[in-house]
Amino acid sequence: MEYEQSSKRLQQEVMAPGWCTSCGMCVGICPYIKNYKETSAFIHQCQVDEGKCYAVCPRGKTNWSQIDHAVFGKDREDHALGNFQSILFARATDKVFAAKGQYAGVTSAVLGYAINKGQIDGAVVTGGAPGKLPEPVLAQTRDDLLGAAGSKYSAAPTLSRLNQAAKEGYNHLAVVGRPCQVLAARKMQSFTDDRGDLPVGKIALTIGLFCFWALDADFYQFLAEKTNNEQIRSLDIPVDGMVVVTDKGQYKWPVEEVRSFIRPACEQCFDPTSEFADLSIGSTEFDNMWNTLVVRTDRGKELVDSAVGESILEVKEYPQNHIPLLRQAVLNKKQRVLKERNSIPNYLVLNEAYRKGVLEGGN
Amino acid sequence: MEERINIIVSGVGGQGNVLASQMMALAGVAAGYGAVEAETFGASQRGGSVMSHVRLYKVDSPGPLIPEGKADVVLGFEPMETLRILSRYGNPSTKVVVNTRPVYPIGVLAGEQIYPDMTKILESIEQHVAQIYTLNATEIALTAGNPVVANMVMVGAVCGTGILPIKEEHFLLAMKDYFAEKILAINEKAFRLGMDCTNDAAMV
Amino acid sequence: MSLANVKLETPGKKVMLTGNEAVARGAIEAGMKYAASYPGSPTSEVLDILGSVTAQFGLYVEWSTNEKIASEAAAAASFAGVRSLTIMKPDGMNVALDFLTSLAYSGVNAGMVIMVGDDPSAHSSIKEEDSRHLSKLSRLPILEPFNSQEAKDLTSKAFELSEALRLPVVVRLVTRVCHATSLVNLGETEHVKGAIKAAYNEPILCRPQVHPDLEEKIFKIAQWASQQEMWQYFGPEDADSLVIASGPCTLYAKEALEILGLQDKMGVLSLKMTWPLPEQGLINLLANRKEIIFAEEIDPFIEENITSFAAYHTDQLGVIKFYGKRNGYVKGPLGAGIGELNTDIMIDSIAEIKGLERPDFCGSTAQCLSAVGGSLPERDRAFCPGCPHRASYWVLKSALALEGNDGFVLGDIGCYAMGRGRTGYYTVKSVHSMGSGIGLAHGFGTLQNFDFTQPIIAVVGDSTFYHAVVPALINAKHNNGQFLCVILDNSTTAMTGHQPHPGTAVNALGLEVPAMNMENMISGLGIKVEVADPYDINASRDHVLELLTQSGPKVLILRRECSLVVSKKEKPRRVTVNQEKCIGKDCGCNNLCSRAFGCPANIIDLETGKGRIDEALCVGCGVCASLCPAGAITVEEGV
Repeated sequence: MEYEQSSKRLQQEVMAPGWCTSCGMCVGICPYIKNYKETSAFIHQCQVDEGKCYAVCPRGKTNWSQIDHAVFGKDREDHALGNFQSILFARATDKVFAAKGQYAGVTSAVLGYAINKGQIDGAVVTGGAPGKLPEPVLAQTRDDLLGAAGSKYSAAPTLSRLNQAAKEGYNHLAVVGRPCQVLAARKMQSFTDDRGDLPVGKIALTIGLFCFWALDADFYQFLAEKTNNEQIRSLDIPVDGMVVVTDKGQYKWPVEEVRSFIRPACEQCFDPTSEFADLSIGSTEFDNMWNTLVVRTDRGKELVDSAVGESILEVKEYPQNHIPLLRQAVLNKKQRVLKERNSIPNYLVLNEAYRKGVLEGGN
Repeated sequence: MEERINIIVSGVGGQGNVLASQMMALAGVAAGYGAVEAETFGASQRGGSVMSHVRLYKVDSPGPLIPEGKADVVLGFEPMETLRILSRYGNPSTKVVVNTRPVYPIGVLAGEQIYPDMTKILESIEQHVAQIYTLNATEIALTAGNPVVANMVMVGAVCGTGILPIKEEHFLLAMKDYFAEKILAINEKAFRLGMDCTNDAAMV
Repeated sequence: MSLANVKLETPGKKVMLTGNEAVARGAIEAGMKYAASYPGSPTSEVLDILGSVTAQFGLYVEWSTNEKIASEAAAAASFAGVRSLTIMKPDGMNVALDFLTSLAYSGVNAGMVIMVGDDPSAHSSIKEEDSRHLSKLSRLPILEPFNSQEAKDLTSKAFELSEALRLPVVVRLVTRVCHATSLVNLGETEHVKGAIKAAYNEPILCRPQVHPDLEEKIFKIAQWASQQEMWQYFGPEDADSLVIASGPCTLYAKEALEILGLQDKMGVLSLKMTWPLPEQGLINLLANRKEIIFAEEIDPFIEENITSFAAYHTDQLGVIKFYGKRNGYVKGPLGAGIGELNTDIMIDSIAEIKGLERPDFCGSTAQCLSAVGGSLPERDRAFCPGCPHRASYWVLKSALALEGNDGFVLGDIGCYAMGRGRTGYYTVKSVHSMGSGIGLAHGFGTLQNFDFTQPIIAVVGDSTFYHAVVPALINAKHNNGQFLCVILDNSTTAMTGHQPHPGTAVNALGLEVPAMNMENMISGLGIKVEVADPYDINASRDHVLELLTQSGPKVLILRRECSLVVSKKEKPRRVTVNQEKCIGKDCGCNNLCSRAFGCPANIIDLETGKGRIDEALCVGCGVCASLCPAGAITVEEGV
């Protein structure tokens, strides 16, 4: 990928209109971009004509087919779920990982396995206490992984930790992120950069999470008020509503009550299932004892196969009757993005086949 | 009109040109002249362009500011500032001693202004005045032990040229009068190093 | 020009003194024993000097927290029988004016002199203000010296005059007298200890009933000035064309006449007392003059007073042609009454009035800029290398960019006022007067009813804090203003020459005193206050952001000592830029240190485009090292 235009473009196309997803990729690549909690902004202007910030931004111009080719070597056939090799139900065999995880602990188990096998020297994940503002973490031990386990519902700029870890000398990193973060990491990996200030060759594994929206950081204040500032043990947002467990009891609200906190940037998202990751992991939406695991690349397959072979993971076939439901949920989001305001969002570059594929429902 | 000698010390705030101009005035008094001296203080010091005017006289004390075109000697602590002063106060008989080390305005560092070509600056000075002496006073001061004494290097340099009717002994008297015991030595050293530069008429 | 000269006990010796030193010396020679002031350029050196000779001459001096208090303190000394001096710039006279206008009514006892240093061209001020209007408004006589000898003599005389009339007297200087050095004959000094002679029990009241007495005093002074011939005349006695001048314009006019060859045709009348006018004397001096040109700083003050006086005395004076700033004949490049006068402007003005050719002395040298394109880049003022304000403004502008709701910063007076320029990243949006930043911030911070939601920050210096900010904080607490006050505490009054203030552990007498604790004071008001180090950019930025989310008035003290003070105490650590690691012009840097951060010690090697450190300027603060994205800048520890 060529270096594209300047920070001015990033300002005008992404930050000023409020489309920044707080992925964190630009923070750390560029010293003029900083983040405070879940907001990123330019603190000074650079005057470079060709910069990397715009080029790595998941809301800068992105040619969807081009990314498919960069990661998979080919176009997609399934316009709902993207390129993948298999879609499974999976769970961690380690009971502690399973218990600590949001559902079945698959992410933690896979990472733990990769660390133990020496395939990675650290994992850039999102940690933080339940119900509190999350923060980027570099996990290297089992305890680190357990500490960071569990879904986070707002937009931590996790990739800023990736850039930092690369500078600290880590060379084989795993990245666990939201779909926008996976996309940013893939755009960054397309650079042939000699200077070494980008973590280009340092990502050994990309795990993407399913994400239909992220909440604004104001949400945590709402949460604290709603739970009377009690200590929150866990947080979940299944289809029918929000469930919060505190040390005093349990709270439930309809999901409508949190919708007002959805980040506006999420309305432009075209990728709820992390289409470009090695592995995509999410909820099954109906059985909390399992995760949905989408195996996309050869690297992902290799890892899952050996993890299964060594009884780290247990997998089974994804219920066939649920696949259309999953595909439809994804298509609904993608179609909304294309049809809202009758135009494609500025950053999305779709060729005709890709566009039709979504609008006409899939493959 | 009676004998008057008008000297301007020009430079960038913080270079110690105030001290240099005071030294010129004191040495002038030691040499039997009356002296009037005026400086720009305060805010200008913070990296802005500064100038001091020193006027030596025999009978009638003039005002503190030298009229345009009437500078007899310019002690330029910075090349661009020297040229700036000459464009207003210089004339074809002016004699100039200039420190060749540039201090970049922050606009230049920000990429918004361009510092003029050094060769052109020095050539232009040479073409428009009677005599020019150049030295890197800052480097010399660094060898003396502290860049802050560059101002005394310049004072030494102008003494060494012989263009002023103020001799070494007058400057030494002025320095003894002005500097506290513990900093006298390094300032005298800087003065001597400056004199050495121009004593041999190292003219451009 | 040195403390040593002011201290000398050698009457009759001729020494070089600045105007400020001469005022100090004149006061000492007149037996002044009590001096109070607040630093204000161009006058700050007067109290600096007096503070260094307190033991020798038995003085009490203090840096008060503002000019009103300084005037009050000096007045008290005068009431009790001790000759006193207070010193200020016009901005300070604005602050003291409520008291000074009342003081004229109540009168004083022992001589009290108010020295005011005006700043034509505002070299060190934010506005050009002619304080003589305020003195006249207050009914205080004005003496204007034109050089250091005059400054000394008129100051001494002012004490006598003040005591005779029981009215404070103003000695008014301008920058080119305050900061110009010339030869002065020293007089005798008084060593009498300032003991209070009588018990103080007289009422000293300002009441409207004393107004007639005040006007009577003014009349008496005008008479005295005529009798004492409070002027100096240069040139032919019978010249029918005169320049009436005051202050250094006297010398500009004299030199202009010499250069134009008019010194035998025109005279220069230099007034020593410029208000009230010595009316009787003027009638004699101006009779038979046909033409008068006025030369004064800043406003046409004497011009207006004399032309008005002449209009009432046409019987004695006839019709005189007047030329001055009012009718545009005396003006500099920016217009009449704007910017300081100098000999060149007087040459231009007089040549035009007299229809003479203006001589040119520059010759071909005036063209020396053509080789470099005809002009030279102007030099913006910049914070010194290592200045904590540079770091603070980097912190504040970063924080507001991240906060994202068009927050802005209101500023105040001091070195940190430069935050409005390039060196402070154009962060500061307002500068008005001491303490105005926080007053404005409070105003903005109470506009919630009008749907105003932009975050507000006010920056104030530590000296400004003690000067004006405490009442504003009390008001903010009481009226619930929503803003963040950032105190830039560099532990000194820097711009005016590093004078002490209540937060420093030393006073004007050089004595160690307990340093007042700002944090305690502010928490005592019930306001949240926290402290951070501006050199720690990331932590301070997050700190600011955290405070901006909280309601009510908040204070963050960004505390780091002035780098000029530190570099005098310590040898700087060596800072270097690794040329291999430096990314320079490229993406991911774009010369962040020199181009963006802008410390003068961060320079660019124009050939390689890489950063370098100017050793002659660097003080080793290390802030640029913490900002460098390539980790190319290193600071050597413990040299």
